[in-house]
Amino acid sequence: MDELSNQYGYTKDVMTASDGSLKGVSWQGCPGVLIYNREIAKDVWGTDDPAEVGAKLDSWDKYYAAAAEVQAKGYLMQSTTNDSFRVYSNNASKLWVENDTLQIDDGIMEWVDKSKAMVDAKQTTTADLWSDDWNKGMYPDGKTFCYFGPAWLINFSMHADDAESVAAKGGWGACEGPMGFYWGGTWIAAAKGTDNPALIADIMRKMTTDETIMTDIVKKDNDFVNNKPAMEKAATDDSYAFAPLGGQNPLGMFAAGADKIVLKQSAYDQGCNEEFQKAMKNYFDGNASKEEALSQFYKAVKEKYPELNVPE
Amino acid sequence: MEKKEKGLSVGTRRTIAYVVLAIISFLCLFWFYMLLINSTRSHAELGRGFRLIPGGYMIANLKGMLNGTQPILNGLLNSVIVATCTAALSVYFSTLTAFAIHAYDFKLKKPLFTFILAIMMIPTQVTALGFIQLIRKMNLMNSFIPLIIPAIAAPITFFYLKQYMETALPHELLEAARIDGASEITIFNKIALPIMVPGIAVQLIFTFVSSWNNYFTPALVLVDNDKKKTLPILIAMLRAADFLKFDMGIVYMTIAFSIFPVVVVYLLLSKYIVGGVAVGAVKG
Amino acid sequence: MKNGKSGTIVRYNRWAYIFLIPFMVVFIVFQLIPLVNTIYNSFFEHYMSGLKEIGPNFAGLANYGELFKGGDLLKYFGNTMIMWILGFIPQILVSLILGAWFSDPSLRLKAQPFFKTVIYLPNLIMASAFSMLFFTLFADTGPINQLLTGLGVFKEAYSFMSHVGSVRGLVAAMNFLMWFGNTTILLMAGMLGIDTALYEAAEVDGATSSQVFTKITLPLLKPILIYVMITSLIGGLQMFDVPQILTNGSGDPMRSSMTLIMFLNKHLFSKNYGIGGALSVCLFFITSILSFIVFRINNAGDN
Repeated sequence: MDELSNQYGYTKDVMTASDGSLKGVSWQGCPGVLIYNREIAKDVWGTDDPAEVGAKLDSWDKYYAAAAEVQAKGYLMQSTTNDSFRVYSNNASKLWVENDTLQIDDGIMEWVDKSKAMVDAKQTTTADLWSDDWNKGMYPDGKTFCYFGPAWLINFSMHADDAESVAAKGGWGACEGPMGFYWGGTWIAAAKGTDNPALIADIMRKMTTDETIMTDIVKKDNDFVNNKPAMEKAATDDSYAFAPLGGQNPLGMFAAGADKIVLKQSAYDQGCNEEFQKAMKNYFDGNASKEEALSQFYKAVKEKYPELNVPE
Repeated sequence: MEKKEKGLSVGTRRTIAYVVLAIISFLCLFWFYMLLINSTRSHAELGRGFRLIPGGYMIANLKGMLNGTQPILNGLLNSVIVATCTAALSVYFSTLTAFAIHAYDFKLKKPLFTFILAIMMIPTQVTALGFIQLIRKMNLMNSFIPLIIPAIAAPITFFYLKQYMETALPHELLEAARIDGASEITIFNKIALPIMVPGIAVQLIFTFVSSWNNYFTPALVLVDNDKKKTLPILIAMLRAADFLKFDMGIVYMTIAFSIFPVVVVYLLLSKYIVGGVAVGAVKG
Repeated sequence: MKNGKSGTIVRYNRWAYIFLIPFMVVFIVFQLIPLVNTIYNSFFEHYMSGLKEIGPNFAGLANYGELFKGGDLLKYFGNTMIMWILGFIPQILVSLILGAWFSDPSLRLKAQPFFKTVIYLPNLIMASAFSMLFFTLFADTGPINQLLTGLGVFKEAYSFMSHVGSVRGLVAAMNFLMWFGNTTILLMAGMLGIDTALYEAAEVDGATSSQVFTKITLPLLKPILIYVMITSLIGGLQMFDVPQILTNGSGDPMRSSMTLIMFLNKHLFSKNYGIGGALSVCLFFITSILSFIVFRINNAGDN
């Protein structure tokens, strides 16, 4: 399908069925970046410039070192341990399930260890994503340094419409962060048995491959679209600046991140991701040892998916 | 002759009583107040923490809720239909069954009574599994029928009404009616039912409320069609689904919307509860 | 007279059977058959894997084995009982006190109808909504924490949802608030039924009000207390809505607030009919045994 050659690889991978056929297409791409609080960056390092801040956070080692510096000044590094989970899990080299057996990728175990260290050092909390506690960092008194998220997080979830929020004052900045990742996206697929296949194909084609239309989407919705040429052009065009980012244009960063994403997925991902984070919260809160939390995870997976083999 | 009161004086006890009652009333009413307040605030305001004064977003939240992703009005209608039918059927047939056990003296009377009491102990969830399989086979998934019809066999309601009858419906009355030539059905409908009104009113309220608030069974049956879901299911979806929490003001408005109809019904009929519960339970 | 009536009695008794039909039919179809079905299911390995249906394969007692392995069942039973008792004890104490006050004419409490109506109101709140409210109130950055740190009770926010005791406590508190009104009114009714002559006799003998309460009121209330205990126990065993929604189904921390029914629900959700069935049968036994015990106590009291 050369028409789709301008799309970012991972959006096609997500919708590719096991027999290789493409089941749906997307006009959106949702690569993520590290979104940092400019005021806090200035307080800790004296600068809020994306290139300089980015340089301090472009590897996990540097990130955790920075976390100590941020915490010393009285701020949280990230709002909750679960903020960085997605970054690690998107880059996992092992699937959750192979040959009907549950396995845990080493990268994810690294997330566990590093997160526990962060919680103990009071650099982050164990709140649930989307909870009130997680949201607090979007306001100045939340004293939170960074979030990980894609374009829609910046524009829709950071309360930019609330005058009190950090976003409303353009107080966020974006940099690439230690690893690329993505979060969500919307795909269009045609319903089986539709009586308008030609029309639908046309709509799908236009929305997901036509450069002009997709550029328009970026302009109007501040969305990140699934078309490499359009995004690369937009990256250098200042009229695409994001207000919550203080006028920064992050599209170039998004574009770079989107290309790097290598996607692996299995049918068990959602369940495993959810249960893993829930189980690990017990370990982070000090209510269980790592082994106990892991065995809790295994139990939960077995209950959800009885056909899998889980470790005892 | 002066009566010597040992222990605390009446005055002190009254003060203590009032203080405790005030605290308790606060603990009971606070949630409604909180709900009301929160449903008048915007999402942003709510994110900033709890306030005691109402915000100005009531209309906005109301509109948002009605136009939102969840079919709230359908939910309301569904809850009303299910709860009303359940209450009506459950109470009518429980009264009928109680009448059968109370007014007649037949061989199986005692064993049947004990049997029904025993059934009372079975938690609904124990039969839930088989229930769902049965409903599937009968092709009744996503319909209200499996929520309403089973209410006809309601042991707890039956038990209460039976006890009530023992106080309120003496056998002599029934005998007199029989001698006058009334048929059994007439006796039930024209004599027994009117006398039972306070007890029936109480059970109507109880059953209505418990059906309205019931989450477990409807959640198992009404799985596919959002438009057929009852209010508790919609609310539970709010707690679980992240994306729906983009606007907490609407969330609270939804909850308030689901609770206040019941509160109104209850307040209108509260004198029956306070009076009726007493009579039926004395014999417990 | 008796013989003359026996013909009519038989004729009337037919009506008893007729009136009983709706109840019995509905019961058999919607409760008995499912019960048998559930028991039958428990002996099979039968669940859904994604969209595939696995089984039913006959598995004997394998499901039961899996349930009892690891002692989790006991743990959830323990959780359920602990959270029930934590709520029930305050419930019965407060209800007794309130009931005594409401039925004591010498206290002459005003505005009784108001209070009686109010204490019943929490019962009307859906458990799901109530749990959501509590969840918000007791969040790390929520108002209760703000209040407590502001007053200096805590140095930093107490994470209510991350500690075993506080999660269970919150569940118990909600159960208490939802049901104490009901219990109060029942007990009060019972107290009103006690013959006032007994009170007068006690007064003549010079008993204090607390002596009257413990030596006269309480013993006479025993049947109602037992009724309250049975119904509360049955409700407690079936505890589901409140902890389910408060902890979003996880029963955390470390499943300390997972009740038996929450556990069952997990299996019903993954359509695991085999294990779900086995668990239901266990629940049935537990309930039957407990109710049998209570029945015995009750009947012994009657004699």
